[in-house]
Amino acid sequence: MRPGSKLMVLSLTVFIVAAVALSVGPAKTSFPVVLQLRLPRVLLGLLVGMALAVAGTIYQGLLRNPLADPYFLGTSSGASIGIVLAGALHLRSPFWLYLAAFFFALLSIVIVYRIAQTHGRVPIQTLILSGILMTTFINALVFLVFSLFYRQSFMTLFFLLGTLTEGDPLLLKISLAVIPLSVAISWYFAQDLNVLSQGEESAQHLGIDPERSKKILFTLASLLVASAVAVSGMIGFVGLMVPHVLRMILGPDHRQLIPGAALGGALLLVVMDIVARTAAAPVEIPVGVVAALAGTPFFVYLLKRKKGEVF
Amino acid sequence: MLRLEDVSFRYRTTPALRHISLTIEKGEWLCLVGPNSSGKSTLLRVMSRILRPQSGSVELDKRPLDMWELPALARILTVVSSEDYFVFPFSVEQIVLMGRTPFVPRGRTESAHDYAVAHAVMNETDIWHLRGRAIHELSSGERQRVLLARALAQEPQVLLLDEPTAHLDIGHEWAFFDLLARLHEEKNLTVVCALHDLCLAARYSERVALLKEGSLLNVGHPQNVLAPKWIEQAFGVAVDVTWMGTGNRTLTLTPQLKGNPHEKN
Repeated sequence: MRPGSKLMVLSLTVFIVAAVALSVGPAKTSFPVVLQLRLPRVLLGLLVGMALAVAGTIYQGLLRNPLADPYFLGTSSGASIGIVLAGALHLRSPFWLYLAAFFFALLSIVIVYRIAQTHGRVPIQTLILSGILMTTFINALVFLVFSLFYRQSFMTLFFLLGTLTEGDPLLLKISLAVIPLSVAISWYFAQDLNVLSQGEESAQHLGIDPERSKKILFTLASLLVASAVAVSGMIGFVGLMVPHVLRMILGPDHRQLIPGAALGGALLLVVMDIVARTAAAPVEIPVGVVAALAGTPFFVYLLKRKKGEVF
Repeated sequence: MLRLEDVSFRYRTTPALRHISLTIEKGEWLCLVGPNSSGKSTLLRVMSRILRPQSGSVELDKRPLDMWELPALARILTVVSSEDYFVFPFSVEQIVLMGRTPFVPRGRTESAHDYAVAHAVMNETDIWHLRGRAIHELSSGERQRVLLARALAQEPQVLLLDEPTAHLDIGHEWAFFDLLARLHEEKNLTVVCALHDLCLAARYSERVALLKEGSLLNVGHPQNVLAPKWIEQAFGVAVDVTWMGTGNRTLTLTPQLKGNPHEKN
């Protein structure tokens, strides 16, 4: 099958799964339930999944590292501290939330990149390690801010675990604009990612300005992560798993991989959210917990299967 | 074609190139030789605009190198690197097609012409049979041919190479240079190649530039530059030199007993 037809099949699957997601849930299916409760939620799932998977694809390409993921690199945590700080400073308009999330997401990935980089390379061990350090540090900061400012707000803590419940309509609208736009621009820069994944000097010899492309792509990825965290909290593993599986299906060319990851991420998160809503109904499990439970074994499998090899 | 005028470059405070002036003619083959850290690689990186010299000027086709747009530059001059990362399983064909990047507008896919060029250079470099294989499955000799093919897909006029056969055995090394010599001949390619091996430089190049501590010691015909006097000055070893073979291109170096720092007298 050609990559084009594979992408078609994938889009069709996303439609079907979205339709299934609209028709299952603890409440009885009726028109108002579908329209008011499930539609925004499914839409959010599609968008957030898309954002996380494309951000993961970009980080993996830029860092030449197939284990990169916004969650492990500390970018999601960066966005979350931005949101928590904005909240603590009573800057609760969606605009400030977004700006703070984006700024801290970008700041944290730049710091992690700087820590991990040695002699122009970004070795896998130092990258994962500095990502974990960043995540640990920021999580401590988040809890510090919490204990100082948010004693009573259990919901915000729950939100940071990753859930698609909290639906601020304005935030949803912003994400509806920002995420597809960032994905489209990333797609436009797909060949830059192909070339950059082979080294920055090589990229320049092929006529791509590595510094400029890196800045654009890091910014886009941070925008995607910030958009996802602002509306759904921190959901891990989607950005790790989706590019991996899609690379096996579509090959490594980012011109197919980016749209593929967008569809695959949307699909995966909506499926996970169906599980989150129905597995223990009427109690709801945060979708971030479902992602971590499913994702950790996958991560172990990756580590074991490809030890020392090229991915 | 490529003209360096009084070029100096330093890394932070360490000088790496000192007042280098060198003109490379269109269609010639120049080898850069010299001891370790004599500035060969730095000079190549200045020529490919990876590094910008602090003083002096570099011109390509009578235009300052800095004035070139990167894609336009990549259509004229490129580098066969020996240090690429192959993290993702791109196929040989995909890698060679990436050589067409400077011709393909951003957001578009390669045209039939781009494919035709890529296929032609894959035949020339004898990697057509490998086209579907993933790059990291290949041997270093095959991989080096793929990188050469990617560079040729850019249809360059100037090809820069930095120790392209550093990881290859002698058989693959000679095969690589014979291929390069044929392409140099057929396409009137300008070749600038940094080499450790003086005998390889003598065999393939039309001119040799000898560097020491960032300065250009001598440049000219291999027989003039690779003479005992210059070799001793650059490398600190006393040698006798004999030239043999067709066109006197085969260089043999024999150590002189007297003055050899490795001999204890």
